[in-house]
Formats: sequence, structure tokens, C-alpha cells
Amino acid sequence: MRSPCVTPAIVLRSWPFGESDKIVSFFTEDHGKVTGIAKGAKRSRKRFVNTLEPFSLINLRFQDRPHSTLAFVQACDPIRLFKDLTTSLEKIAYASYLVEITDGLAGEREENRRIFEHLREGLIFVEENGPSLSFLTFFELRLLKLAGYQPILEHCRRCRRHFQEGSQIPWRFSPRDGGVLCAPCSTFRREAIPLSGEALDALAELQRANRILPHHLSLPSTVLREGRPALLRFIQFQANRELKSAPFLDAFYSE
Amino acid sequence: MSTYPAPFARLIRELCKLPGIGEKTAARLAFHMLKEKREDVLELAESIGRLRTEMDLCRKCFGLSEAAQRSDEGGECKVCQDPRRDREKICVVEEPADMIAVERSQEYKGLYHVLHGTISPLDGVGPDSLRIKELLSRVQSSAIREVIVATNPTVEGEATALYLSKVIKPLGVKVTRIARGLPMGGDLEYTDAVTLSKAIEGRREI
Repeated sequence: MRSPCVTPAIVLRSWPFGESDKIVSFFTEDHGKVTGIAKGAKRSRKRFVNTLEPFSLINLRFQDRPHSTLAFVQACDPIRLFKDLTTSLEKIAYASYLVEITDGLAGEREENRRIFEHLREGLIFVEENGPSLSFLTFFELRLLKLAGYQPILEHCRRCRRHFQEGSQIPWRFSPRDGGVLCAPCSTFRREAIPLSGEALDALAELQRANRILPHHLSLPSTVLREGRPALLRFIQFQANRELKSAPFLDAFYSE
Repeated sequence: MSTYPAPFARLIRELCKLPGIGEKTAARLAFHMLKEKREDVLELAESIGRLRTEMDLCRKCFGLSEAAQRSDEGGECKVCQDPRRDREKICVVEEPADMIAVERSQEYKGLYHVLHGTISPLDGVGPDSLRIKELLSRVQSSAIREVIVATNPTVEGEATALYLSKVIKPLGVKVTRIARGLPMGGDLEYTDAVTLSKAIEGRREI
């Protein structure tokens, strides 16, 4: 019998399974993404009460089961339940997007403490400071970097030419190429998204940041208008799926 | 399953489609039906068949309604037809089963509206996928003064409650949320922190 693992974890999402069980996906500090079955979770008043809701930061106790990819979730104790995230629709939409992109970009059982820390800090930021598309853009860029999908923004992905400041011809962001392409190299990439020099510079600078503070948050609207669709397309390309929570963000364009 | 005679295997296959029923339970139920009186089993089969032909959704509240009643009374359920009901209040619930649970409390005497789901960004379920438009037209076209949101205390339930508040309040109608707290007979010592904090937050003067 394998011994149980105990680790801090953030609930990414859960699905009902049968009459009283739940399948739950966690991002753990020590084991990366873990999906498990929580037996009797819908009725439990002791082992799982209030701890299996999305965004909850908990202490997870689980055990691997032989011949099954689903772990057996034994118990969860709350560490921080992010109660204030559910006080506004906008915060719920933002937090949902943060956990969905983390779920999409992180591999099952690939330990990555920095992603765990990034998600934890992201949820705290949204809970305490409210929704911000600038923060979301930072979150996406840093998550991509931590997950190993950092897009190349400083030079052309093909010819390695550096972007010249003040250039009037927009470069294009190509999710398939993993970064930007200069005007000549993007000739045959019509699906690539045009990015102005201003947007490219701002995104590249944001990509270099390790942290972002609330008072630093003010990306110009042109940067958000051009950068956000490019990043969303790139994340969906890497995650190989549509992000269901993305349309909800459009409804709450708060900047 | 191939070891069972064909009619028996077919019943097991059908029973397995029900929630919470696996093959073993289905086989046990099937054996039980073989032992039961013939007329009892036929009555069960008839009840299942009639469920889909005689039940429908109320055209007003989208709760459960008997089809016979619908044709006589213009498609409304018993609650919507009852003249003794308080027509100034609507209790909004997620599913028909929640409506029955509130009715069982015998505390609420107003009308209902069943959304048939909740807003869930992670599942891509938005307001347009629910019976929210119908709720808004009910609120606008009748004498409703209060909408009581009785969705579950989950992230999705909260998101739905917040959305309803956002779209209904501008219509000049009071929007309230059911209270959360300790169950009767519960024990403070064993209550989780979130429930306790909600109970303190929603305290009232005695």
C-alpha cells in the first residue's frame, strides 16, 4: 500500500461523479497537477466541507491507487478559501480564467512549485485588488514562461532580426511559430495577429517582470486590445483546447 | 452480461443507464423484479412510461407540471395556479428538485422560477443558457416586488446570484439571497470556518 501524500493545493475544478462522489483536479505544491476521486464528497460534512470549490487553497491528503490514474482523495483542510473572490461576478470570471489556463498549460504530475506560487499569488491579487486586464496579461505571460511555453517577443522567430523602435510596419504574432514574425517573414502567415511596436515593446517588458504591483498596473488600451487576443490564441494553441471562461472576460472589460 | 438470458440482460443494460446504478446493482434489481408479483412489476413499468408522457415543465416557472393539468389550465403547474400564493415574491432555484425542497419547508408561500442550471465560467455556461430571460420578463410584466435567490452556496450559485442581482435591481425590484449558517441540531465546535463566518455575518436581532 502506498503511503499518503500531504501537500498544499489549489482546487482547479470539480465534477460530480455518481450519486455522491466528485472528481477533483488540483494544482499541488509538491506534485504538480493531480486529479483524484473524492468519495462521498457531496454529502461529507467532515472530510471535504467547503474545501472542494474552485480556487480554494487547501491542505490535500491523497493516495495513489494501483492501476488507476485517479488518486484517492482522503481529506482536505482549508488554508485560505478566497471567500472574497465570490463577492463579485468579475472576480469569479477572472479567477476562473486563471485556474483554467493553469489547468490547460500544466501537465499532470509535473512538479512546478513556481507555477503553484504564481497561481496562489494571482488569486490573492484578484481577491484583494479586483479585476485588471493588465494583471491578467502579466499572469498569462509569466505562466507561459514558467510552463515552458514562453513566446519570443524580442526578435523575429524565423530570421532573428530585432524589432526596430519606431517602425511603422506591424509585426505579426504567430501562435504556431511560438512568437513574433517580422513583416517579410510573416508574408505567408496570414492567420498571425498584427502587433504594433507599442504593444510589442510593452509585452516584452512585461514578460521580463517577475512580479507586478497594483500601482504598476496600467497597460495602455492599445496594448491590451492587440496583446490580449494574441496571448489568448497562443494559450489555446498550447493547451490544445478552447478556453471556456475566456468569453466571460469580454463581458467585464474593466479598463 | 452475456451469461444472462436476453430479456434479463436488456433490463440490466437499461438500468445501468440510471445514475448511481452499476452492473451488480442492476442485476440485483432485475432479480428482485423477477421475484415480485407480476402486477407490481407491470405497474412499475407503466409508471416509468407515463412519467415522460404525463409530466412536463410549467410554461411559467419551468418547474415540474402534470401534462393533463397543463392542457386544462394553459400550461401552468399547481403552484402557479394557486390563488392563495403570494404573487409579489419569486423564489429562484437551480433545479426542479430544489423547488420541491423549498416547498417541503412549508415556510415559503410565494411563486417559483427554475433556472435549470447555474452560470459557470469553467463550463462555458452563460446567462443565455439558462431561463433568465423568462425570469426577467416575468418580473417586468407582473407585480413582483421581491426576488429571493435560492441557488446553492457554490461558486456557480454565487455567480448566478450576483448576475441576477445585477440585472434585476435596476428594475426596481428587491433582490434577496437565502441565509447561510448552522443547521438545526448542529454543534459550533464541529462547524467549519466558512459556515460559521457566514452565520455570524448573517446574524439577526432577537
